[in-house]
Amino acid sequence: MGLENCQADFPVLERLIDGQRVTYLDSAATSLKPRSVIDAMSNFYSQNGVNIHRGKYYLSEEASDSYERVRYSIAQYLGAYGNEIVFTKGTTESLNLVAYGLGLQQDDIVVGFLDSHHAQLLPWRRAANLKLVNLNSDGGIDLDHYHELLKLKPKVVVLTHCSNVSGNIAPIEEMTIAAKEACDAIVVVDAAQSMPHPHLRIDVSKIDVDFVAFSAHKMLGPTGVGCLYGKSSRLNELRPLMLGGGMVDWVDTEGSQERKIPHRFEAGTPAIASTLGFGEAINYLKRFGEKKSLEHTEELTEAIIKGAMERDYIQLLGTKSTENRCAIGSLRIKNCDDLSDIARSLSDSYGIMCRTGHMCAQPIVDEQMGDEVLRISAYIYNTTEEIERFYQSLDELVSFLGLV
Amino acid sequence: MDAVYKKIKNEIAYAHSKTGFFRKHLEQAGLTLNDISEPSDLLKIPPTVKRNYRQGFPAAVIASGYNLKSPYVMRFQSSGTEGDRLVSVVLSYDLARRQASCISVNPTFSSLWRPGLKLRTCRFAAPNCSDVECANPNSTMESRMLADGTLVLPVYHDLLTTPEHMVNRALDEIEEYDPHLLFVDPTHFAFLIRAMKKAGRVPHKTDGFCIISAYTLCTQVARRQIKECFGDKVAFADMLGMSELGYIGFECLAGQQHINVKDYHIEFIRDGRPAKPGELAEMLITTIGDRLSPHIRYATGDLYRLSAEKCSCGDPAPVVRHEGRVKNVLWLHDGTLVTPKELDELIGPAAWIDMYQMNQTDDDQFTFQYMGNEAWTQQLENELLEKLKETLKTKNINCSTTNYLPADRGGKFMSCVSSVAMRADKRSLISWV
Ligand SMILES: [Zn+2]
Repeated sequence: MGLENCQADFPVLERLIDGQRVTYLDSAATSLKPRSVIDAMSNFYSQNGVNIHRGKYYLSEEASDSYERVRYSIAQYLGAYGNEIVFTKGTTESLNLVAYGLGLQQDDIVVGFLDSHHAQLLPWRRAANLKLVNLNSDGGIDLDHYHELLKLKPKVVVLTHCSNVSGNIAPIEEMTIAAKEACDAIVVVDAAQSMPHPHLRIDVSKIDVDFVAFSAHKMLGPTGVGCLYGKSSRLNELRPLMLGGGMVDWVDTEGSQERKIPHRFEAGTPAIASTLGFGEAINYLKRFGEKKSLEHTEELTEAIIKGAMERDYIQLLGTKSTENRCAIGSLRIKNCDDLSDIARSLSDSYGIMCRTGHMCAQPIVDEQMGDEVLRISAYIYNTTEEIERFYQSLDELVSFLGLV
Repeated sequence: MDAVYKKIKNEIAYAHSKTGFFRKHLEQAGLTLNDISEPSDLLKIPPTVKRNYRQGFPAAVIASGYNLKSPYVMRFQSSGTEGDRLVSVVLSYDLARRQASCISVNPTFSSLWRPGLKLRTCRFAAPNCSDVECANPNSTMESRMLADGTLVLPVYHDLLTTPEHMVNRALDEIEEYDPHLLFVDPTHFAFLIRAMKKAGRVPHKTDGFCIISAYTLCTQVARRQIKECFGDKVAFADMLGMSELGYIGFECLAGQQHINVKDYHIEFIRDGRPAKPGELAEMLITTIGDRLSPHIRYATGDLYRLSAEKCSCGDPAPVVRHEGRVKNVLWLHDGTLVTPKELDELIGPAAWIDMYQMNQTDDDQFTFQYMGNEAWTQQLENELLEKLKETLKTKNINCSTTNYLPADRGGKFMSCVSSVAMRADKRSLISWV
């Protein structure tokens, strides 16, 4: 199966709003869901719908089997072991779980990056002394500054594989090696933006990272479920964030015995249907080869950069090369004080859905662009024609709004 | 009347008069006992399946006059995965007799039946194959000891995630308990052997005990690792069995699988008719002399080929080849089948592979993953991939190396998995299960 005809798998793209087809350019926020994912969830509710890991009855065991199979399939996708996959609510919960579970002291140094998502900044700032690596003049990561900060011997290095604002892909393998060599730091990777792309899949059997966090909903799966990969030795030392049912082997009036990994991190009833949808999403993604995924991303990225560079009224955040970049464009419209009008008109007049704001990464947006940005982000179901149409629509709009 | 047929007829009459399930089963087929008057009439009786026994347990499938607390009643539970779960009962002396009949084809195991021997067995298999929780990291040897002197060794449900300290504990316990018999899942045991080597340990001994492989297909790569580690002086054989019936067959010295026809009447059925020798067919079992829970024409969901040849070992028991479960066969795009056993024959003892899994993910979509070792070369991999493509008649095979292959939630590891074979429409073409 190729990328070229996968649009047909996404029911929402058949929808007409005010008689107009939808062009979806906000996949960095969340992706659309293919039919197989929707069916997996709906099938669970119509055919099963019961809790897992407790009952001895048929339906419960059936649900438990399906649920655990998703864990195994994610493990295989990452080159990990089954017990190294923890289900969470998403990337944010995964990162919080690590930040609070490592037992950091306030004066422990954590090295992070300016282009990170708030979820990869705030928990670390609360748990320890967070130092941020600057960006260089191209908007890429300042690796010299990174090596400089490693000399402080941080306990943890928190990497962002792909920035949700600049689309910049960090050389995490090289950075991980440096962090291990410098001070054997624990390496935590936010892979929310990279994991959706088969060519950016992290193989943890080859890259020595300790934790990887990502969400289902950015990789064609449902919202409300995500994953934390952790090396088994690290997970064994990590303190659970949540306590309660399902994470203990036994409890008495004096104390309790926690279950083995990964179950000790999964207190309470999980998002079962969503997890099954997550499993289907991985199955769906596996059908695209890495080569196809890379080629398609490069085409989309080139269209985004080209469109921005051809227009004087647009400033594009980050590097201007398709290399090591995802199809994300954060744009500043010169002379425009309020982007919400533009976003609303793009939607209602042209059917183009894209984001405005700080993208949960205010430090970099403010530093590089002064204020809010208009962001377009494209994924497997998008075409370069859609990007071109976005820019043409923008041309019309800025002209009518009197901005140029 | 043929003596065997008379025994079968008695079994049918007993099941009819003593179990609610079978009485209803015949009624629903519009049959009375009088309709079964000659051997060919057996084919009139619709096969019974696991589902019937699951639904009927305990009241409708245990013969009247018995209950779960009756003397010698043993209870077995098969794993709850893939809708296959089942609780079944068998009388301990029936089980022992079936075991003895089966093993008698292989004289190297005769030491296990020395009069007066209090048999010590260690079991290393998926946790759900035992009645004790051997996947609990804090369990003790005592807590894992069964009444019959079987010590269940600790192991995780997801085999390859079993931590080092539990591997070491299993190895320590083998030494300490010094079993006469190691009863193992071959893939599990090959894993233990690899872990043992990695830890710089050696076998507790290489003479004076026996190893029986059971539970799942004994792949040639697993067999190779077991033989390499324990040598030729340790008796090793593959056993055919089902949790609900016990021993069904056993491997002889000539390496052939002999089926037990003393305690069972065995049929091999394809397309509703008795299969020809060599033809792939589902095995149906009718118990003989089972007073507790007789099974009549029980469709096993297991595929076999019956050999027309006499075995060179001289034992008259029929020779079969177990091809694997109906739910695990590979369905090719032209509608033909490749069984797990045929796939394993293709891969062979491959010195460069430690463990593998073939996964049919969709019609004409296959993934082959394996754990390689230092004997791996690209050429060997390429050659195997070419053979796989030829046999599976497709180019759509992803082949890759991995460090991890998951077991199912019940702990069983399947070397061959097929989502296509799980579909009811496909299964019904070759099986009642
Ligand atoms: Zn023989």
